[in-house]
Amino acid sequence: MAVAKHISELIGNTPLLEIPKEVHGLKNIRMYAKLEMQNIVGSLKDRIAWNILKDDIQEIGKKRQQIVELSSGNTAKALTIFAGMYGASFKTVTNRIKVPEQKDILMLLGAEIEELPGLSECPDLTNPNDPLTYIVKQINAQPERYYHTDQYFNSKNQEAHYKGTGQEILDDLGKAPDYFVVGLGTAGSSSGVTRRLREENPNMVTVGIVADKADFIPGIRTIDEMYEVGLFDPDNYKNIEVVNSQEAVDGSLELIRKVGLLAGPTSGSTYQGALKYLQNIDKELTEEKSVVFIACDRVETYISYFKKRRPELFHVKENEVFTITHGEVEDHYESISIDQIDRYIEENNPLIIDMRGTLAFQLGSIHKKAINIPLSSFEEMLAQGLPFAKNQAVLLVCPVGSRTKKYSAIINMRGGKAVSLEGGISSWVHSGRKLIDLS
Amino acid sequence: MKRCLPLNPVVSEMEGQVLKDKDLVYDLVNAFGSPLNLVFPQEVSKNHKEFTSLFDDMEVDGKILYAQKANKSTALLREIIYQGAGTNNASLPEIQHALANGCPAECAEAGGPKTEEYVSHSVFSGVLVNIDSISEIERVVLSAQGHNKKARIMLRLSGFKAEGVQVLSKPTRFGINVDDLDTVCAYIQKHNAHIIFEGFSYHLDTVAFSEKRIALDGLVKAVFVARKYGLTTRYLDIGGGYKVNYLEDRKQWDRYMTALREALLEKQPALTWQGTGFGLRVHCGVIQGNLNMYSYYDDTVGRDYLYELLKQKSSHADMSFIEFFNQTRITLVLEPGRAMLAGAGMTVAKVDEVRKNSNGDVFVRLDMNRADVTIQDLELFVDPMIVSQNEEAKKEKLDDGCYLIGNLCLESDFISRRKVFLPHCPQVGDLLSFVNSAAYISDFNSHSAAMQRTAQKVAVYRGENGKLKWVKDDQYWPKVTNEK
Repeated sequence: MAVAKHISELIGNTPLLEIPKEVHGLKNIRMYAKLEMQNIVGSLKDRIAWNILKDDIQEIGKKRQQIVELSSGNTAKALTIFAGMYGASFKTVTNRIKVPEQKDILMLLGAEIEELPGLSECPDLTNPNDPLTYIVKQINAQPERYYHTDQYFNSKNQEAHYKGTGQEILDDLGKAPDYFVVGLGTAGSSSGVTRRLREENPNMVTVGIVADKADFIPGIRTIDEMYEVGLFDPDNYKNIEVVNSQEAVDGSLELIRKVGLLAGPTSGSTYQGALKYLQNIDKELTEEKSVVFIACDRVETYISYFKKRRPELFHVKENEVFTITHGEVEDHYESISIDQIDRYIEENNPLIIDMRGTLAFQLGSIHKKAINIPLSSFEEMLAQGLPFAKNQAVLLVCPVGSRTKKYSAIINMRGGKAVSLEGGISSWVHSGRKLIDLS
Repeated sequence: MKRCLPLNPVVSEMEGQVLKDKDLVYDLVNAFGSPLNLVFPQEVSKNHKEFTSLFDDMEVDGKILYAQKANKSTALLREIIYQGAGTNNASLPEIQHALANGCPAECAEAGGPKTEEYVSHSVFSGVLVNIDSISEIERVVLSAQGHNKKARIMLRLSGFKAEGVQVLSKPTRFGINVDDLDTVCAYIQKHNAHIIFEGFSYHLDTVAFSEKRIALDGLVKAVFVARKYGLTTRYLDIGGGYKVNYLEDRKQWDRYMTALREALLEKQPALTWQGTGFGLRVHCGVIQGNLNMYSYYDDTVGRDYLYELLKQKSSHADMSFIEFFNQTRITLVLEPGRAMLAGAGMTVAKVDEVRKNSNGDVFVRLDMNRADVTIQDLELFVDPMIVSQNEEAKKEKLDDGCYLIGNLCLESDFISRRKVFLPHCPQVGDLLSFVNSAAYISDFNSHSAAMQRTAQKVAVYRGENGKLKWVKDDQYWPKVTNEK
C-alpha cells in the first residue's frame, strides 16, 4: 500500500520482532514481540476502537453524539481521534488515570475527562457509586446523546483481535506459538488472540499478566478488578502471573536499552511476566519452543511513571548553588531579633529583602519598604556578585529564618553587611505583629 | 484444600500489654459486664506527636483539633487536651464536654449541624464557629449582636472545581459553595463589627489525594478572594481523614478481597451470610458495584498520608502546599479523629454460645450486638482476638471459619456477616477482643435496644512502675510530671 486514504488503513499488520536470546536468556525458547505500538494512534487499542466504531461512526457523527467509555488511556486516545474525525466527541469516565501525561495528551486530542470520586473515609452504604452505574445513569437520562462503546463487555473488542492480531501472528510465524503472554485489561486481546491461535494449536498455553494489588501498572488490572470484566474467562489462561511496577520498569528498560524497542511499562510488565513464567519451564525443555508477547504501546507518555519509580535515571538532585559549611555559617552570620528590629531599621536604614515567593509576599511583609526577591532569583543574582553596595545594610527575611541565616553568612563573607531576621516571618507573626499588605 | 483467611489486627503497645494481663481483662468484664470498652489514653500522645513532629520537619505552623465525635470518652479527651491539642466539636454537648474538661475556648471549634442554642453558646464563649451555610452566618451575626460580642468564624467551603480535567466529587450536604464566596466575604466585611474572620475549611467525603488537592487549592484561592474584602486568613483547616491501618499483613487483606469476589461468583464456597456483597453484586457472571468499605489495610496513613498530600503542588500558588504554608505562615489546622485514636482502645465481649447449623456453618454468639462494633453498619474486616479463660482446654479447629452473631433477637444481628477465620473455635465463657476500636467503631452507634447493656468505658493506663492500672473513664486524669 503506497498511499493510505484513511488512518484506519494504518491500524494492524504490525510486525513481529524476535528478541535476541542473549537478551532474554531462555535457551530453548524463541521469543517474539508483537509490535502493537506501531499502530497509528499508538497502541493495540486502535484495533478495538475502530472495530467497535466502524459500522456506526457515520451515524454517530451525524447525530453529534458523544462516545463514552471507561478508559484510562489508549482506548480513550483512539476513540477521541476517530470521534473527532467524524464530528462526534468523546468522554472518558475514570478514576484510573494515574500518569499525568496521559491526561494532557487526551485533552490535547480533544477528549473530555471525568474523574470519579475516590473512596470515602466514612462510606455511605446507600451510595452505589461505581463507574459503570454512573455511566449507565448518565446514558439512561439522555439516551440519544451518548454512544457507549462498552469495551469491557463488547464482543467486537475480542473480534478485532481474533480477526486481526491473532491472524497476523499466524501469518507471520507460519504456525501458532507454544506460549502466548498478554497483559489483562479488558481481556479482549488475550481472549481474541487465544481463540484464533488455539484453532491451530489447541495446546497453546496462554499466560495472563495482572498487576500486584498494592501497585499500579498502566493498562493492566489487578485480579480483583478482572472479576468485573465481562470478557474475562479465567479458564482461558494456564496461569496468571502477578507483576509489580518495579518489574515493569525493569522489563521496559531492558527492551529499550538492549533491544531498541521503545516499550512502555505495560509491554515491560508483559515481557517480565513472560520471563518469570518461562524461566523454569525453559530448563526442562528438550526441543525448541516459541513464545509471543504483546508489546502494547510506547514509553514516551509514561515519563513521570519512570521518574517516580527510578528518580536516579533522571539525575534528580538538589541544585546547591553555594556550598558553605555549617561552621562558616555559624562564624559569619548575623541576626537580629524581633525585639531589636525597630531600632535596627531606624539606625541602619537597611534594604529589606523578603526572600519568600511572590505569592506569599503579596499577602503581606514586615515593612512598607520591603522588596521581594524570591530565593531562586536571589541565588542567581548573588552568583554574579553582590547586587547592592558593600556598605549597604541588608535585612534578609524568610519563613523561619534558616535560609536567611545562611545567606547572611555568604554575603558577609564577601564583605557585605547582611543580617537575618531571627525566626523569620514566623516569629514576626507569633509576636503578635501584623503583616503589612503592600499591594 | 481447607480455606484459611485470617485478618490479623495491628496491635498497639498498650493493647498488647492488656491482652497479656488476662486476669485484669476478665476481672473488668466480670465487674462491668459484656461488652466493655477499654480506652488507653497514653496511646494518643504518640499519635499527636506524629503530626506535630511533621509540622516541625516542614517548618510549618500547625494546629491540631481533635474530632471529638470519634469517641465519647472523657479520658481520651482529657489526655488529648493536656497534650496541647484543641477540639473539633460536632454538637453543643461536645462543646460543653470540651470546655468543661479544660479545652480553652480559643482552641475549640464548633462544627456540624447547629441549633440556635449551639450557635449562641459558641459565640458567647468565644469558640471558633465553622460556618456551614449562608443562613448560618446570618444567625451568628444576630447572636453576636445579642451578646454584644464579636463572633470568631471560619467558612467551610465546598463545590470546588478543578482546572483542566473535571474531577467529580460526591454531592455533599455540607458547606458554602465556592461560587458564593464573594457574596459571603462582602457580607462579613459589612458586619465586621460583630465578626472576626479567621480562615477557611473544606468539607470533603473522600480520602483521594486528587480531590483533596483540588479542595486545598480552592482554599488557597479563597485566601486571595478574602483579601479583596480586607479579610486576613489566619487558619486553613483541611479537616480529617488521615486514615488508620488496621491490619498487620497486606497479603491477608489482598487474599480476603479476592476470595470475597470469587465466593460471590461461586468460584469458591460462600464467604458471607446469604451472599452479602457489601456493595458488590453479581450480574451476568461478573462483579458489579463498589465495595462500600473502609480500606482496613493501608500503608500510607497518618503522618505519611498528610505529607504525601501536602507535597502536592498547588496550581494556584505554583508551589507545593508545604511551601505555601511555610512561606505565608498561615496556620495549617488538622481535625484528626480516627488517626488520633489509633491503638487507643478495644471492645471486649463474652462468648455465650457456639452452634452449628445443618450446612456446617459455625455461629459464635457474643454478648454484644452489631452496633457495638460498627459505624453506619460498615462490616469490620479485622479479626477479634481470643482471650481464652482456660489455656489448657483442648482447642478445636474451625473447618471453615465462623460467623459472629449478637445478642439481639433479630435475624440481622450479625457482628460479622463475613466468615471470620479464628485460630481455633472459641469456647463459651471466652472473651473476644476487638482491638483498635476506639475511633468510631466502639461507641458511635451503640444503643440499648431490647434493654441490652451498652458498653461502659474503663480507662487502662500504665502506672509509675509500668504496671497496669484502671479507673472508670470519667475518673481518669492525665498525669502531669514536673521534669522537663
